[in-house]
Amino acid sequence: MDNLMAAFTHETNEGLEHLDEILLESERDKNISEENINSIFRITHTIKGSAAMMELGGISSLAHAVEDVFYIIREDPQKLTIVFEALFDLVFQSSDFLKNEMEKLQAGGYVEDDPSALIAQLREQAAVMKGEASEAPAPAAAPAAPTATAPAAPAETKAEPAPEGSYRIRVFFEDDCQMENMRAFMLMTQLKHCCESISSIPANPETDSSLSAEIIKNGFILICKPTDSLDDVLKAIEGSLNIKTYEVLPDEKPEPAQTPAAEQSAAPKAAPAAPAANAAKAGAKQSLISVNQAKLDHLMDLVGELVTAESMVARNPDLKGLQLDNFNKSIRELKKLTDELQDIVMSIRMVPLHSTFQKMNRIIRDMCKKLDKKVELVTEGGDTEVDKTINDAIGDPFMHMIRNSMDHAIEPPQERLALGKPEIGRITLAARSVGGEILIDIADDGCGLNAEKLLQKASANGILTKPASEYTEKEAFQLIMLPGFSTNTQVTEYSGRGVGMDVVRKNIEKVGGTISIASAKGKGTTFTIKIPLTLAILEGMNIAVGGTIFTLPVTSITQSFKVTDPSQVIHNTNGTEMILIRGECYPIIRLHDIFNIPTDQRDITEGIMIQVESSSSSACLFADELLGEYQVVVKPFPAILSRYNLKEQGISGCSILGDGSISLILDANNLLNNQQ
Amino acid sequence: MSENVENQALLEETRDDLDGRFLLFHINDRLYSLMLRYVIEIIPMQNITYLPGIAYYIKGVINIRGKVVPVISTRAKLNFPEQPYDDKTCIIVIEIQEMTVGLIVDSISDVIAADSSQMAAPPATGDTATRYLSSVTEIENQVILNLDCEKFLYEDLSEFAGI
Repeated sequence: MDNLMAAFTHETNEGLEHLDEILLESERDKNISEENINSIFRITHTIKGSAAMMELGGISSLAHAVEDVFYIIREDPQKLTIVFEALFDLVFQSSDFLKNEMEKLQAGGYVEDDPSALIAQLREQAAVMKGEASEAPAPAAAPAAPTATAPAAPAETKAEPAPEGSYRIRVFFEDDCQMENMRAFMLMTQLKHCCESISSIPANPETDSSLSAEIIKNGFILICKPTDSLDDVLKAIEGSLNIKTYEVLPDEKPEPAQTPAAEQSAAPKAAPAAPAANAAKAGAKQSLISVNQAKLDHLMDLVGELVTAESMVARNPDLKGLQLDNFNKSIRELKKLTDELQDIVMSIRMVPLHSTFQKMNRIIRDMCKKLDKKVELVTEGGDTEVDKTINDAIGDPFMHMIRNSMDHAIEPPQERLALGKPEIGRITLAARSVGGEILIDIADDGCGLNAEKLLQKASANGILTKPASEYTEKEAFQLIMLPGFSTNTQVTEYSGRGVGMDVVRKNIEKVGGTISIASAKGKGTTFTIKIPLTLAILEGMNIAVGGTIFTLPVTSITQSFKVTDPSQVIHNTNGTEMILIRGECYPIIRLHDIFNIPTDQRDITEGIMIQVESSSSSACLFADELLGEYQVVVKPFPAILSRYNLKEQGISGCSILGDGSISLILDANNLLNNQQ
Repeated sequence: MSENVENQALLEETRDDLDGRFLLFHINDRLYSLMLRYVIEIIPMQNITYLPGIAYYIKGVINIRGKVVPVISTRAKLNFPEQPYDDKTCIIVIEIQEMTVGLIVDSISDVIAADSSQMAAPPATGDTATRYLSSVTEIENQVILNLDCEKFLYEDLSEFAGI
């Protein structure tokens, strides 16, 4: 049951997200395409059906009400114009309501909310649309029971004979298998992907459990047009549960429908434009499965352990000094496979940023309405892929930043016009991948940050650490990321509690990212977020300093070398050292000094020099010796240590080596920044 | 992985039986105890990976079956002079507020059952050595200082809870 519920909430959430996307697009275009109407239809229909199956009456009837409304629109798209605004608001509200229900379902301890107010409003809109039309009786008073579907009435006249090339299959379920109507519905759902169109007698079996009796007696008749061949369909039927027998009925004129509802069935499924699109989508869907993320995490962990175990075998101390040609060959083979496995597991976890961006669209829409501002969202690079955990972690920070931009940065339309800016504000979300990292810009063309105001505010809040006059503009901008900082005098529904940017920074840093701000007064602000592609596995060079082993990501190493001539090293008066390489001067960072590690290797010509590069500078690290290149699984430090800001000292995490010891992972960026 | 889950389940089950039982150990020739229900396991001294810039009493991290666990020197935390580790030195691995922490102690002594009637309030001297105590028990002419894990690690955990 739990599995079923999880599948239901997942599927419904996905549907709702898609629904939001369509609605936003349609609202922008002030029109709704036939394809989109059909998509909405499919989504609401699925939700209705599955919710009924899960015995969630409220959700089911709300989905049903939405479906009804779009039924009318599909019949006559012109009618949409009558109620456009009100209707979209309503459907958005319905979508929110459903999302909320899904959240509650996932959280457990579910108590159903009553959607009747929404349903009544939807009916009202339906009535308005119908009132304008000359046909069909007003369905406003239609009973809530999903059986007597409002669209049934107009559809009656349209009942078409089964489309050409279709087959009729009569299916009998096993005796006493219970809930025959649900099984019939599930069977139809299963067959959808191998049929261009499908309908049934009785129609919409999921809506009325009393149809079970009929299905037991007469069998369940499927009218379907296979995508490829009838065999595929029959195979799918054979593969279904609880099917006693099935037969393909001779191709004759379809029996006269037994119930009025049955006739309606042909309509939604055989919609003229739909089949082609349906088939294409269904084709894509076939190769997709949903997997529980916990399983993926587990898989990732296992692959991590496997990589560790592999190097444990390959570099086993027992093998030292042995001539093992065949063994080495096999190890290479193994390594190739584990590498491949790792790549695939990584790629499974990669998701495009698109859906996260899409959610921001929705926020902007709602806030535009509430704040009476006009803003458009421009997204670029939505197909950039990041690890699922990272994707999940950045959703909230993004939302916060967009809200901030909407609330504080973008001016009201009149003010914008007065300033000579375009009336419609613009927020840009742009993602691009650079090396092993993803850069995401969140830019607005609002009023920009005012360094003076920020400093005033900060000093009023007592969070300045030095005299205000000593702050550079850039430092002043950084102030907004400090806890307890809020420039807005009024706390609004959306932002202004002064926890925003502070939490944003924390969340981004939690996934190993950084955030920087650029702003021009009157022109706008750009936040640039830099996040790693993935967190889990890293190609690193292990280096020894005293008894401690460090791992330096290979990506940040430029070269390593031994200093042969001590005269290359320049000693500054303040005790720091520099080294001259090919005419360029680089600072030397002695790892044993900055981390206070006792070591015998203090002579610069004895140890090893590793030139590393951060985003802004370059330096040479001095260590005792290189231990070789390893793939390491990154593990975060225990939470107890989070107060010591190891990350800022240049240690981003740790990893367990093949022999069970722990190495510390160096972060060149922070390491070099600290030394400046 | 699954072993851990099973252990966890086992732990939950047996936790009730553990109440009222205490693990005895020596620090600086004094007998201390802590509630057995915190204790996950006792392991011999390990190679500790040093970490720069952390509190003096946190000696670093160790690897316990793939898990990175911080270890705290009880001697250092209680302001006793530190001494070199020997054969008897071991690490008590405890779980507190869903975090795993290792405590380095001089040696392990015993497990005893004691009920609250046998316990007296600790002397209110307020110095480091008594600050972390929950009570004092006398059994067979031995004074046992009952360490309060929550108090003992309060400074380390509070920061975390605040985030």
